[in-house]
Amino acid sequence: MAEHTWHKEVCDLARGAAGGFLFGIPLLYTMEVWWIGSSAHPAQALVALAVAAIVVYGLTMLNGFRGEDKGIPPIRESLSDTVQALALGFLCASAVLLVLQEVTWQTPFSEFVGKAVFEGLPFAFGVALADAQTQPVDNQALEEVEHKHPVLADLTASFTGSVFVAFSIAPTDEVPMLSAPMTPFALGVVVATSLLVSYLIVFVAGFGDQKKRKSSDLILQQPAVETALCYLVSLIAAGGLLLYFGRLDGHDPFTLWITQIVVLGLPATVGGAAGRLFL
Amino acid sequence: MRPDRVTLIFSILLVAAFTSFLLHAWLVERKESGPPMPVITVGEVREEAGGYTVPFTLTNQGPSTAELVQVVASLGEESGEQVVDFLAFGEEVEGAFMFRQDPRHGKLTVRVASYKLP
Repeated sequence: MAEHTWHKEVCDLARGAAGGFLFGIPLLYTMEVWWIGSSAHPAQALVALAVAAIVVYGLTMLNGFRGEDKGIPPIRESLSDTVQALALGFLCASAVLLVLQEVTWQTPFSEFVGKAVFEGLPFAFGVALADAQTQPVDNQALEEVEHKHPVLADLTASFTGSVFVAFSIAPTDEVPMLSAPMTPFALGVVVATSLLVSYLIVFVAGFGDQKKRKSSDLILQQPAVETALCYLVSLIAAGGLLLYFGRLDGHDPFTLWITQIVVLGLPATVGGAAGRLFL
Repeated sequence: MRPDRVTLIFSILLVAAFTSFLLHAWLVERKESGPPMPVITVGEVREEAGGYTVPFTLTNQGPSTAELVQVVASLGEESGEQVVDFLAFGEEVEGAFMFRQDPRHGKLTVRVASYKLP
């Protein structure tokens, strides 16, 4: 049995959260889900929670987020992972709802709980599927795949992943809706969250070639530099998509460009981080 | 204490808090069910941009959610209309109507004209 240290626990939770983000971020940008969460009857939310708990239990039995392949775990272990996946789902979804100001301190508590439950459940599925989504890759096999231009490969993968995730969100009304009330401080929080989530997925969660990345000698592949550089690429991808779908044009004020690009930049960064690991 | 136990206890508390709140809300709602009740509060008139702005706050004081809440305002020959997509129980939405005439010297009416149940 693996030793339980705080480092391992943090890595496990980070892996779970990363899986949750990859699975749940598109629904966090869907206003219909906010509305379902706000208007749902408490009994509906309880039934959704109960059904989701059963599904999450099944997923943690088969996959889980602890990166350990030891066959079907004991019932007690699966149950505790289920509760942790649900809690992680609620926490991450609530945090993003707060960052996007879809939930504020003025939001009635009942509405907050409804939104956190309906947005948190898909997040919890993502947590329970973290290992399956992002199976830790055999480092030896990865060492054989050497890119001639690793930085360029990272930037290309980041751009592709960003476009892949943000493509379905860019043309929707949610982006201008979420951008409209953003203050400079709130935008700063969105930027910080994007960078944190990207770092979490690529350098903490234990997916893919994390060890190799951390030991790279290239300055541009140092964790902080790479995270910032790839965030910039994700912002460029987000801006390009908003232009492509006619959501932004030359007549729009500069502040509108910035807010919409930063708001779409969050899901684009999640896609970009996944792209760097798996493309 | 083992780290996984600490996070498990925290997780149990969080999930239990959500579940208990939903159970409590369900039991209370069974006693206090009823239609939504969108209520308008009109703020102080402001003179700006060559006209007059009348801010308002729309609050749902009923126990259920309203959709497409239509707020209309009229002042003499001038009128305005706004639709709030979604108003949950206890939720507040702020907005404003703009007029050319001074609302303080005319008969201003701001009211909720309709809403839809989800």
